[in-house]
Amino acid sequence: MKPNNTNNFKELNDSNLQKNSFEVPDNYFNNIEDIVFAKLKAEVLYKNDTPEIPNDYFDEIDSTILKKITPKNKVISLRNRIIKIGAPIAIAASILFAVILTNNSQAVTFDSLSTADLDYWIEQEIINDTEIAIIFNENELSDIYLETNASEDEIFNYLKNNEIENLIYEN
Amino acid sequence: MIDEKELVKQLKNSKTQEVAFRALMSLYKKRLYWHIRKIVLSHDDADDVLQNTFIKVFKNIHSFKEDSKLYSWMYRIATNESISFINKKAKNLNVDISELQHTLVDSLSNDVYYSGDEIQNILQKAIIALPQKQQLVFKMKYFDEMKYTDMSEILETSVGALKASYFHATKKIEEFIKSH
Repeated sequence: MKPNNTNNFKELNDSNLQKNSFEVPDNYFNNIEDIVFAKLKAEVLYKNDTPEIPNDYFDEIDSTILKKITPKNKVISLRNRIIKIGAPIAIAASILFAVILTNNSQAVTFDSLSTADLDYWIEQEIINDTEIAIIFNENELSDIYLETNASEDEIFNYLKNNEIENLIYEN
Repeated sequence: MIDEKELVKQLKNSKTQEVAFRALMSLYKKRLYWHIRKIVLSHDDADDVLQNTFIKVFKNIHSFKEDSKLYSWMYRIATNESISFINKKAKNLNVDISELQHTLVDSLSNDVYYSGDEIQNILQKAIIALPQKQQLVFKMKYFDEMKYTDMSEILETSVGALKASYFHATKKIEEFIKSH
């Protein structure tokens, strides 16, 4: 719609165009002062209730956190590293050296073994009856037993001190 | 009539500040509201901006140098607050200012606090087609009937430039209305 069928701006002015078409709620202007003061007081209260922090706290918080989460370069002790890596190598070398030495030594024969060695091995369960049976033939074993010079009294005392049932369980 | 110098003195004194500030708001609330309303268009937005303007005036009264009139200084704050509000709103909606202003004008017909007829709607559309500075000059001169000297203080622009701006604005609006 064109005012008075004219396109002239001056006539638009005359056509009450300047009237205010904008409205406000009833009594809007009556309490603006109170609203503004309430806001100002709320700001003061909020400011007082908020714990104070250093001025540049929020500027530096990022870098502070990053410093804490970045892993520090560890100072590795050379001595510890040598012990850690060197010890197993030394042990392995010792075992290898012992094996080489053992292999180079003369072949173990029954004659070269002392009774004490055998007793120790059996006692420490380094070698058991079955292994002895595999290694030695029947005659050799018979010889071992024959070489045992246990008297009847010694056998009796042995049996007396060790429950027969236990011996049965053990075997 | 309150003497402006005396009012400023009272505003800067913590003992008399609250009473003086109430007097200041009573004096200027309507004029500032309508100035803001012509820029942001909706009542709710104008209400927000008016409150923010007064809060800013209250907080910054100590930095008021008195080398301009108090009401010019307040108008300048109100104008800047209104423009900042529009810019922020456009940014939040991810649209440019021109697009936002078109949306605001289109929604006027549904605004319960707007009673403009068809020619009023065309005028609003013609105004938002102007560059932002010309919009301000036109609204302050045409609706508020402000003197060029006062406008010059508020917008910090020479009277000659304001007159030229208003002249161009009216021509463009005339053209816009002719074509609609």
